[in-house]
Amino acid sequence: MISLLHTADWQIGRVFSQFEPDDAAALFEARFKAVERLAGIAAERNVDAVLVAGDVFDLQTVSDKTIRRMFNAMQRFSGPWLLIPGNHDSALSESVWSRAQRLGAIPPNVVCCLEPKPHLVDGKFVLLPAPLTQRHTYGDLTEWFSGAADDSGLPRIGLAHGCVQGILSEDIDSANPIAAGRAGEAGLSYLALGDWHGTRQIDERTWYAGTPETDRFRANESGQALLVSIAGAGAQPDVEPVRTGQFRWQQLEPRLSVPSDVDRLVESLALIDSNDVLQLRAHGSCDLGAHRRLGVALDAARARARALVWDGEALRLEPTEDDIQALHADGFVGEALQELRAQQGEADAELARDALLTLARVLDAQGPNGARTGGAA
Amino acid sequence: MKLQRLRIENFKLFRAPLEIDGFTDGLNLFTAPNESGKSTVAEAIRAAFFERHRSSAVEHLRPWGESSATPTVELDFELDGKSCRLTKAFLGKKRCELVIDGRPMDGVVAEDHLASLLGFRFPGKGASTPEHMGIPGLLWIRQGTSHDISHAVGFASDHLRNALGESLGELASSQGDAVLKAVENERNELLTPASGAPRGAYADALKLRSELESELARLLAEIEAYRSGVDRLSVLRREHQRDDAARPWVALREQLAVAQQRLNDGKGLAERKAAQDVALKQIVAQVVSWRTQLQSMEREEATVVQREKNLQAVREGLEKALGELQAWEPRHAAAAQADARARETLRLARQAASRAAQEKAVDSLAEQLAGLVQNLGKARGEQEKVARLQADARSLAVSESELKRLHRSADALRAAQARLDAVSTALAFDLQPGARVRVGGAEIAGTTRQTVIARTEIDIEGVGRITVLPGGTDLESLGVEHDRAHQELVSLLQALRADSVAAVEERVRLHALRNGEARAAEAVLSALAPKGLDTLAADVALREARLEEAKQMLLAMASTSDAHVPSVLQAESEEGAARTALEAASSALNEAKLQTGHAREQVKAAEDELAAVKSTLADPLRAGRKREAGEALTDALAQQSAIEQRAAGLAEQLRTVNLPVLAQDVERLERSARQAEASHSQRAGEITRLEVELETKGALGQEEIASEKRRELEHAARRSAELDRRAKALDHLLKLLREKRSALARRLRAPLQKHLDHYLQILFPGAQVEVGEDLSPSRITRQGVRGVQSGTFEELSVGAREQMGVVARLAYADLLKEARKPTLLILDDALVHTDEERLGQMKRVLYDAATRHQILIFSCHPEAWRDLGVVARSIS
Repeated sequence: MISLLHTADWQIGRVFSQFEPDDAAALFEARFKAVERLAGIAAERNVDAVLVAGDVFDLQTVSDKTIRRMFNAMQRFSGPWLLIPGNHDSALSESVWSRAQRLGAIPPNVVCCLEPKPHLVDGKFVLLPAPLTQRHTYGDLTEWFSGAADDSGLPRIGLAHGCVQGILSEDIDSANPIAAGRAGEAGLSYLALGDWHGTRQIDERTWYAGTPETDRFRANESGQALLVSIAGAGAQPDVEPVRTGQFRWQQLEPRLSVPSDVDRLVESLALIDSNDVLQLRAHGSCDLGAHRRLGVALDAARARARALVWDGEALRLEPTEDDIQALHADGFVGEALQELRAQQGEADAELARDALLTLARVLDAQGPNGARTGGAA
Repeated sequence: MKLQRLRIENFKLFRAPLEIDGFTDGLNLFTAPNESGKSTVAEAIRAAFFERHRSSAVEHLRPWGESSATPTVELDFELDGKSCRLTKAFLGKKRCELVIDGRPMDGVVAEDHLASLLGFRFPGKGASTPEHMGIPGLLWIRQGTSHDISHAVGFASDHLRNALGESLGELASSQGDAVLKAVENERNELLTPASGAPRGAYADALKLRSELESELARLLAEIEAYRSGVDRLSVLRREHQRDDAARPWVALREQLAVAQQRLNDGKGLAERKAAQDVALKQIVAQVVSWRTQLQSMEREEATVVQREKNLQAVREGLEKALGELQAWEPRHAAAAQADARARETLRLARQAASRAAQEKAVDSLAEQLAGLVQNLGKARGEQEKVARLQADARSLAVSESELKRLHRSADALRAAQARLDAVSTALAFDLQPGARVRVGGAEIAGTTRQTVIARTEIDIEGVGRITVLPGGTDLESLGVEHDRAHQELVSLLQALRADSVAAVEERVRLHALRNGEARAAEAVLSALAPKGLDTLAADVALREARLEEAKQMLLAMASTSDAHVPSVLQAESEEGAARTALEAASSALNEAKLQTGHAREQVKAAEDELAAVKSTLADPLRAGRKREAGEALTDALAQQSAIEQRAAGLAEQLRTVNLPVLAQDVERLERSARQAEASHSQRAGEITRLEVELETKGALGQEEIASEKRRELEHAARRSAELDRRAKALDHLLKLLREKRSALARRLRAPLQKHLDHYLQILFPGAQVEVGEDLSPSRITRQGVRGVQSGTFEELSVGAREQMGVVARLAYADLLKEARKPTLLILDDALVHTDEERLGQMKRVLYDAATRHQILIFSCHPEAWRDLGVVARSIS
């Protein structure tokens, strides 16, 4: 009976450029924290080994500090960690792995499998790794599994990084193909895969663990790792997903037509908390009052959320009479306001909308008792 | 407001009261010379309204030098349909009384009331200044201020705006201008006011973005370089491993050794062959020398035969030569004889020829001589003739002077005769045949004529005697003269030994004739003896001598005896032929002699040679030497063939060995081995270098930095996009607000615009004027001489500004009138810079305006206003 913690796609060193600096920094940090959590789980559940199926690092030339921090984060589990390079961190002649080695940052219990050779792990199972050693790989690196027969009687565990042919869409990082049914064909008890960032079962013995901390807005069941138990050499593996991710990444595109839509949106914004990473893109139209309310709600939510990206460009402003009254826009100012409203239906709608908002803001700031000059200067 | 009467007293130069009444409703024209007080009148009106009666700042209104006077102004006017009278007295006895429609007011109350009615106010203290003067300040134009309008408009602007209607308050809407200002400020924070270029935070954001872009680009380039370095390292390592395994230089070195060996072998062969060649050369030389020796010996032996043959031949030759010689000798002798004979013949022929020639010569000489002698005789004859003729001529000579004298004398005689005849009496006789008449004793008969100069008696037979006594003067003298002349003539003739003049003339003629003949004879003489007679004689003598000589010579020559002497020519040719033959024979003979001599020598030589060879061959040692030479030759030949065989064998071997190619192989393999080793170690070096480089670079963590930079860039891009949108929105909003505002303002100012346009069309047809924010005229666009001109009010000429100033004020007056404000206009010398043409248009303008307002015009140019339609009034 062996138990393994299967994880992949740590993407250590990834910079999230679409967010504000402090949010981006926090999300950068989160990746290390995920490794720490994995180490914690591995120690807690006393697994026989942790398998990391590629894309450990997001870049080849991460800083030395990042390299060290990553290996440090693995401290809590002193058992074997088995890593293979993926396409982001492929084992080129000079790579992040050779740098890590030179730095002496790799602890002795961490094995970086940079060659396609079978590896006996603690006498408990045989690991067959398929490391990526080139910048671009177009062949199936798991082919050699079938030929690497052994008579140890121990479970054979495959560790690979790529795209299972015929199962997944083209929406994936690498071109590295992996034949469907490889596990069965090569007599593997379990094939631990990486590259697809969501937890996904391929067949009874083949799973993608997904990234332990979500890193993009596509909803795909990420933020997990897999606890795999295998009774014996030919036995069916028992796979249990465990939550490891901290942050919830959401992408919302609310359509606003009536005021109540805005109210609903405001309500849902109120529920945003510090573990939310939210992208909000609104469509439709709303009046100035609603727009103001929405703005207030967004500001509040932004402060609470881990990160919030708001895109209101597709939102059209339709000031009501009340709005205009409230603004005290009369005389030529009122005329200007009406014209801007009309311009929203023409070619440069965005410009008109922005100008309209600006005018509303200025009028708001002036207040109902704006200075009456009584004549031009 | 309509002024009706005016009275001023103690006011500046009007010490005595001045009263003007009869003001009309429309135009009132006052013309007066300078310094006559017309401006004072205007000033009085102004003071009456603008200055408080209690003011102490009005000292200047007093007449000069009258420090106690009380300047007083009294005005009757109609205001709003009510008749009013204002009386104001300053300084001395201060007073202010206002009566409106019978209702009196006085003092400050009256003043304030008027001020509010007319639209002006009073200063707190001191004299009134333009800012207080409001509407009348605008409409009552002081001297020289018509072109200066904007201040006056400003001070009256409240009233003007009121006149434009309460709705002008719309323009200053509840917050409109404040909003505009706020928007403008916000916009100008992000964009420059002039060109709309980014500034402030916006410019900074753009700058930051572009800086980050370039930094990122730089980083990415470095990362790319790093990546290529990594790829290159992979390649190098692969190659290095391959070479480490294969070690190609080892194989190459083995090949090199083999090639070297082959080369060495080949070289050995070549050397041996070369040695054989050398030996062969030597032996061949020996063979040649022995052979030569033997050959020369044999040649010697052969020579004997040769020599004997030779001797025989030359002997035969000698025989032949001798034969020739013998043949030629007699022939030669014969030829010599013939030649001698021919020469002799020639000599004789020549001799004969010369004798004949000589005879001829003698004959000719004699002939010549005869001729000459003849000539000589003739010449002598001629000479005599010449001499004779000359002597003849000489005897006949009559000198020129004598002849002349003669002629003269003859003439004189004739003249005397004629004179005498003239005075003489002529007697003409026509006698009958039988009549016997004697004149002066001389008988006459027939028909004759006589002249008588003296008494003459005519005796007629049977009749008697008639005595003719010619009269005439000087008959005697004439007769004397005549006689004298006659005597002279006779004596001359005698001197000349002639009978008559005619005879003399005949002599002269003969003389000439003789001279001519003499000359002819001379000519003949000279023809005969050109050089003179003596010369001819001498010549003759000479020839005679020659002839004698020749005759002598002839005698000396022998006479020919032989009749068969051929001609010289023939003899010469024969002689020539004989000579030639002789020469030929001589040369042939010589030749034969030579040949003979030569042949003899040859024979001698051949005999000698034969003897020499024979002696050589008789040498006893010779046979021995010959034998030796023969043996040596045989040996050498044997050696030679042996060497040749060996050499041939080596050459055969060498042919299969291509030495240059072998050498090249060695070179090539040597080089390849070296290169393979070198590049291997070089590659090792490069790998090490590259590893170090990549280590260092990798340690920089550049991709991470680049990712971070990219994040910053996106952030900066977002920010600048945001500011961009913000700036654009503000700009758009500002433009829109301004647009709306000025549209509104235009609408609101329409009434004023209308009034201005009305007058402007009269002054500048087709022109347009914009009303500025401050309601004064701002931009004027006119059709000028050079096309459309557009400029601000200030840019007009002083004259045009004057005109516009007046026009604008009329427009304001119209506007104010619509608002039921009082509009009295005063123009005090208001159009001094205006030319006649424009003044004409201004008069139309004023005429039109006067239908709505009372206008007082003060001018010092009465002539300029004659066609105003109003009688000019003077001030006094």
